[in-house]
Amino acid sequence: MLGQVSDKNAFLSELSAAEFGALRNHLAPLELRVGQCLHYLGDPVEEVVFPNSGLIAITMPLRDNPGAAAALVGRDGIVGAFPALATAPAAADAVVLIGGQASRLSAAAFRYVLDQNPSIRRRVARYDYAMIVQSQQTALCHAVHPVESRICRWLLAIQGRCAGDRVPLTQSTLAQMLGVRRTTVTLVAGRLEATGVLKCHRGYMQIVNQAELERRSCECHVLFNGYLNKLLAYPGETAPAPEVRPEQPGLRVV
Amino acid sequence: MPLYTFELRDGSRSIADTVGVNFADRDLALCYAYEVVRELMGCRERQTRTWRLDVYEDHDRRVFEIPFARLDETLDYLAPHWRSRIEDLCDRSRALHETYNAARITMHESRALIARSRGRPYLATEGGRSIIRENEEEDSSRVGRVGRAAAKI
Repeated sequence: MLGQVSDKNAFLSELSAAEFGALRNHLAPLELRVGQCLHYLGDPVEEVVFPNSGLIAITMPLRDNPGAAAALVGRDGIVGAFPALATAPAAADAVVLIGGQASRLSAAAFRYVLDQNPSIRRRVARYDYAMIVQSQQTALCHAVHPVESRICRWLLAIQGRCAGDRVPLTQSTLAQMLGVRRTTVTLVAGRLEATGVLKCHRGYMQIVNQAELERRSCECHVLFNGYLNKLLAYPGETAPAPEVRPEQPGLRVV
Repeated sequence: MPLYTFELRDGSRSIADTVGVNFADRDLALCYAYEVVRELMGCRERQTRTWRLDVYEDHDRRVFEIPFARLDETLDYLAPHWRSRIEDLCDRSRALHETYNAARITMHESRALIARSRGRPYLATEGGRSIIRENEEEDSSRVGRVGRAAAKI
């Protein structure tokens, strides 16, 4: 299916011409609207989404409250790849926090293309692995880091995916992502504003002092970004088949 | 339903949540405030032990004062009388810092006013806001706060 497809998504951008050609005919444009849920926990994943802009939160909902975000996906990632490939129900909600544009293809087409193209499959596996690493880092962060450091980390993570010094989220949304009360975020944001790190406006926050925000953030931001850069730069060639030595008489490994 | 707003006092400044939250009664507001304190304090109890969260009803009456030390679970191992002393010490420490900061700001403001009276431009700010009091309300509010903080020391 042909459409107006943007190749600004990082995964799509790094595909070779041949690899992108295998996907292109199946891609269609998608507008991401704030509040839109791309898939719900437990539901089958019908589409795989490649964001070109905007921000999606992978959130773990609870019975009595919205839960918290386990990972963020912007133009640097893929939404729904793993459950679509595994034909498994979604393990979390995928909620659009910041609107934008994306490309999408059906789960069936995605599986077909990956079956035909092992090189694309390996790249997708890396991006899925990056999501797992991000979720692990977030779990650790929630357990051991104070809320102020965590808020700084999320602000940096969002800003890194949106570009510019504006974080177009309300304090209420940020509180939901972190699984804390809105008052907590307001008071922390107030402290950051009083020390000249942020400027709080209605509907968005503006980062005034990036260096100070990084200093106040926990180490999770740097750790995850460092690992991500390493993962995506890792040589992706297929390893040669291991050499099989003929068995030597008298030499037996027990 | 009454609107409950919150003010965090950390010794160097006070930060307010003026938007607030509506609760049916004070008990619910207190439970919410306790959760906010725990979230702010989590994983940095030593650094935040001297803080205090004040709860106001309808922007008017202060109905609760919640010292962070009271909810600090890392102090649970202490005998009650030692714990009480630690909590009192934290309260006095915050009051001392508040008094010191209020005096510092007053001195800064005084220098600004003297400079202005001599026709010299002088900008006195704290946290991005002018600290030169423009009206009697701000004047009495700061004087009152300094007085109450000094009384606790």
